[in-house]
Amino acid sequence: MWTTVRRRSSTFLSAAAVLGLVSMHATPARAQACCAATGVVTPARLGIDDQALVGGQARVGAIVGSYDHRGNYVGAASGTTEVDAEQDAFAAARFLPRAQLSMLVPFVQTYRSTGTGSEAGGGLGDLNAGVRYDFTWVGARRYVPGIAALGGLTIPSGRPPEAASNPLATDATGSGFVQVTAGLALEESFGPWLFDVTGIVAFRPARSARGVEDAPGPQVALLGAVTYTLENGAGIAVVASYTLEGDVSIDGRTAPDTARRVALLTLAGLYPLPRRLRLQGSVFGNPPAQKLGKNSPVGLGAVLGLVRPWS
Amino acid sequence: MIRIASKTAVAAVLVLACGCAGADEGPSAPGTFPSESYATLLSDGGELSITVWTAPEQPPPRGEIAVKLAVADAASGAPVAGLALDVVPWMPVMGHGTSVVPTVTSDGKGTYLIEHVNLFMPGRWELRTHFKDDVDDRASPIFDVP
Repeated sequence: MWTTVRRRSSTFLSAAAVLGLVSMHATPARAQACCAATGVVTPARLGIDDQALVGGQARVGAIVGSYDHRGNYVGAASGTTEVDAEQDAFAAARFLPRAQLSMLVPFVQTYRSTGTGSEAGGGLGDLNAGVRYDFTWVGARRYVPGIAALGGLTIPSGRPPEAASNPLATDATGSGFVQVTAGLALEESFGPWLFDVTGIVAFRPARSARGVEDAPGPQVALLGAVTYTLENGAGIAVVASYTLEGDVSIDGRTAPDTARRVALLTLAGLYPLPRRLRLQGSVFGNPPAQKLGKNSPVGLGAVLGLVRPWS
Repeated sequence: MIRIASKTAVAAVLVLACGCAGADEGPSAPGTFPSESYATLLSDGGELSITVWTAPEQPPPRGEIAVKLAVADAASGAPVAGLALDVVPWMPVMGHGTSVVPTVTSDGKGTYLIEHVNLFMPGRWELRTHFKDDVDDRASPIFDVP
């Protein structure tokens, strides 16, 4: 789920991961050490003592440029604008002592302006489900980190660009692709600090539209995070992720210069509220440094969310 | 940066306010083509030589453009008229096409005008073109849209 639909999702979803990360880490005692990279599959992640949670978040971001196929940064052309917004409803539940299931329902809106017009549109995005199995808990053993397996499935419930009604496809809300993800997360804590490294692979089967069969290359993402938890339960995290994707295959032939690279930096925070509510927020962006990305948009944005867990 | 932020804020309000709105202004007609071509390429099967122009700008900007193709026999250089063209704008990296289907007209002398080509996102686009009838060949001019 960290790649997406209109690909901007790669940005949004990593940001969501941070939200989960911070939120989990900021819960008391044992739970403090139990949670990185939660949103890698979905933003919803249960702490060790949690049995379920529900939440929602709103995101907004702007595209300010892009990387071409050589990795050169190109600023957005004068007179063009793209703003993406999204509201997610999510929930998670524990179905085994070490296993949890989560689901996310996104609602997506896009505003686009080009030299020939401007428009806005939106609708239901691609639904996502994720599972997480914790083999070991972070902090449970002195020299053994928390180790967890991650899995995810994204269903193309959104509207792909070819099926959009608006000329600039602003009512396109999905990628059209099924996506399956698998990952491994390692976590270790030292006092108030939590360190997380997560690796994920993603596969998207080919799809056909307008007589074109498009098979994306395999994707690998690496995510590293450092979280610091304050005594009042608030937390702050810095996350860096880097995604690599192979060349696309179109109608059975490899399309040259279509590999992608996406770098993302996120600063996230959490503040505990009464009644076990958690206020979560983050700012994120793709650093516009030459050669850092390839075939990808460059954007920046912010997320604000609210989560309510139950023990 | 301040300008971008204010633009973003205004657009975000628009997006959140309208949710699922339609277009608020229609695309304007593309301009005329420059005299110098954008690119010349051979078809996949090597039968055709294709010269490409774009309008209203060259290289093409983001948004709706028009594309002119001059199709010639690759061996003799003679114009090839009377072909049927299936044209699909495609963004390979993102794995999608466009909501608008381009229209194709011909001058009967080997030049084909493709209108309503809507390159709505920045990045690399292909104009996947299937030439049919007297030949059966394909070509995909590439556009890098800022």
